[in-house]
Amino acid sequence: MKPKFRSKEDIEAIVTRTLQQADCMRIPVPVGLIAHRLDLKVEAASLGEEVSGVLVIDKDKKTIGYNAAQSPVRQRFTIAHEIGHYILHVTEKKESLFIDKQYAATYKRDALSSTGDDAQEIQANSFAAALLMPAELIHKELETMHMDMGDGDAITELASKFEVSPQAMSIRLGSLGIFSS
Amino acid sequence: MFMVTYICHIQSFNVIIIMEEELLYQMIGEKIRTERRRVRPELSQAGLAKKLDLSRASIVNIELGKQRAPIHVLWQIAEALKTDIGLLLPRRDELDERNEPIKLDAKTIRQIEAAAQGDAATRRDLTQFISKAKSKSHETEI
Repeated sequence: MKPKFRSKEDIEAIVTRTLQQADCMRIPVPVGLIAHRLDLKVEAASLGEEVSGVLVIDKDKKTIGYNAAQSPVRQRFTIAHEIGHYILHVTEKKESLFIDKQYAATYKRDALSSTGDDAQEIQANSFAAALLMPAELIHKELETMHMDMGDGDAITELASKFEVSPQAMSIRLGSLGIFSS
Repeated sequence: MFMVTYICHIQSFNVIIIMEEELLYQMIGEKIRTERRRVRPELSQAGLAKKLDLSRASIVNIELGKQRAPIHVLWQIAEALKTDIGLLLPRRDELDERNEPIKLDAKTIRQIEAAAQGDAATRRDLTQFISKAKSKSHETEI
C-alpha cells in the first residue's frame, strides 16, 4: 500500500509540531522522552545483525524495539525512525508491525522503488533526520560556531552535539541546503 | 502405531535440542559482549582476540553465537575479562524466557520471514520480541 504523499516541508512541519508538543526542542533531542510522551514504550532488544528496529502496535500497547548491539547514535536514529513510522504511517487500525533493516531505504532503493514500503522508509528516514537535527536548532548552532562549514571537524563537532553520526549530519546539512564538504 | 509415535517423539525432541543449542551459544556470545563492555570497556574485540591469540573474526563470531567456543576458550575469555566464567553462561530461566513458544498471526509471520531471510537467529529474536510486545497487552487487559 502506498503511503500518503508527503513533501519535505510537510514532514518538517509534522516534526516541529511533534517536538513542540513533547516540549523537546533542545539538543541533544531526547528521543526516549518524545517516545514516552507519545505513550510508546522503548526497549533494548536482541534483533540479530541486520534488523535495526521494530515498531509493534497491538491495541493500546505500543512498543519500539531497537537493536542494542548497534552504536548509540544508530540506536537514537532507529528510535527516531520508528517514531516516524508511528506518526506518519500508523492509521486507525488496532494492529501494526514495522521491521526495519539497516540502510534498507538507501541501499535497496532500486529493488524496492516500485513498492509502497520504500516510500514509507524514505519518509521515516526524513522524519528521523529532522527530529534529531531540527532545522531551527541547526541554524542556531551554526551561528555560534566559529568554524568554516567546509571543515570536516565542524561536521563532527556538530554531530556530537546532536548525538548523531557525522554521516547523518552531513546528509542533513545537504538537505537543508547548507554547504557541506 | 507405537513405532510412529516413537519416531515423532524423537523428531520433536531433536528439534527442541537443536533450537536450544543455537540459542545457548547466541546467549553466551551476548554475555561475553556485555561483560567485555561492562568490565573491560577499553578492551575491543581485536584486543581480546590478541590476548587469546585468536583472530578478531573468531571473537566476532563467538559473540554472535556463530562460532561455538570450547570450554578452555570460554575459560580464557573469562580470565581475560577478569570475570567469572559463570557470568558468561545463561541461566535456565533466561534460556526459557527466550525460548518461549508463542502464537503469531500469518501476516506477522510473513513479515518476520521477509526480514530474517532464512537467518534462524534473526527469526527467533524477532519472533520473541514481537510476541512479547503483543502478549503483554493481553496481560494488561485482565
